[in-house]
Amino acid sequence: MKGTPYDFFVQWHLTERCNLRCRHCYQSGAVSEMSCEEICGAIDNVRSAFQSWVTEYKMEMSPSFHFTGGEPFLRKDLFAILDYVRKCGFSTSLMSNGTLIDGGMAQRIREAGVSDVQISLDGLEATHEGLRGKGSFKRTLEGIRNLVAQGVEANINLTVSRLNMNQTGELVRLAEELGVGAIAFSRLVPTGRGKGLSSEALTREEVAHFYDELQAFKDNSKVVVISRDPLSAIADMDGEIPQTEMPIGGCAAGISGITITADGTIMPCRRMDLPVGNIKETSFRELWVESPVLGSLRRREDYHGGCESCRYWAVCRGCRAIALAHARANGHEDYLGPDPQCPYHCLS
Amino acid sequence: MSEELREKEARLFQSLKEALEKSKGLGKSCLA
Repeated sequence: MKGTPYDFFVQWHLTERCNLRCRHCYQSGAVSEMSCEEICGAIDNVRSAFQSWVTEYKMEMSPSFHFTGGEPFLRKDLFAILDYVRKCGFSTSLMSNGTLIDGGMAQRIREAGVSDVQISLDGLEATHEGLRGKGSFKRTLEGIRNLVAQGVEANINLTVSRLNMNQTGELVRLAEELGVGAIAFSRLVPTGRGKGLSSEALTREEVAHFYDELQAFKDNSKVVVISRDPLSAIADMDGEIPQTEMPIGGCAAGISGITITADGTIMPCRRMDLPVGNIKETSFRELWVESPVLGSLRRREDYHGGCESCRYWAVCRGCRAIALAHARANGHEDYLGPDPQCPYHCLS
Repeated sequence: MSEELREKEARLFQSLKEALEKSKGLGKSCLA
């Protein structure tokens, strides 16, 4: 009998080099990069953990690898890495700013069997270029069109802030015109270069209003409208709220995803700048169990400031990256405190 | 892998399986 799938994802930043200098980027500088050979070895390390989980615990796994940067197309060996992962039997996705995807590149992506490409688009032309630089909007749209023309699933991801929160309707219509599979919304995390945009982060009231508005687009659009925010699990919740010892949804940090950066640093989430090891030096299988940080993200009693007593804890826990960024802005090293933008904090 | 760590791993995956069964899946993920 088949069990319930454990949808585990690896977000892998192959480089921090980028052809854009976005004001809201969660990265802040270049680091060294693993070679293609080192990356394939690291993929084997992660694959070995997955194999153990399947054989020893009968987990029904559907793991996926999401490669990004910086800008992943700046790595000349990108397709060799994709080929290796595909030969290992895993699904591959790319996350890109889209500006380097011409017709030939889109064809190579299709031939590489990439399941989808997530393209960052942060508003209408003036807003997008205010964040990402002049000329970037048209080049990003061209990249999306090239993917769609090749039959590659393209999805848009948008970082929501006060700069673009009132453009949702026009952006959903643009997504429909472009023929993408989905448009997804994530909250701005004021970390890395994004610290400079802290004042543009939504308030609790604005988050509540935004999700109310988004719901209408989810129900009435020709394109799939998604929120990639743990808080949206509450906005979307219908019926009984599962109460479990282990988290079962919401923030993936420590639960169902991991980030590996260009130099091999392992983090619970890329926007949660909190190294827990290095894939070149550590058994991923052992790290997943013994890391104190990952362990605490799984324990309700380690949370404080509201989440620990919230009835939605198992399906949400807020955005741990935003909680950490907020705490650091106030001089604390705390990733288990309240999500300062949570409009549901009173629902304990 | 030490025996102690293996036992900890077994408890982790037992809890995870129970949660997955109860919820019928992890819901959507939040890729950064």
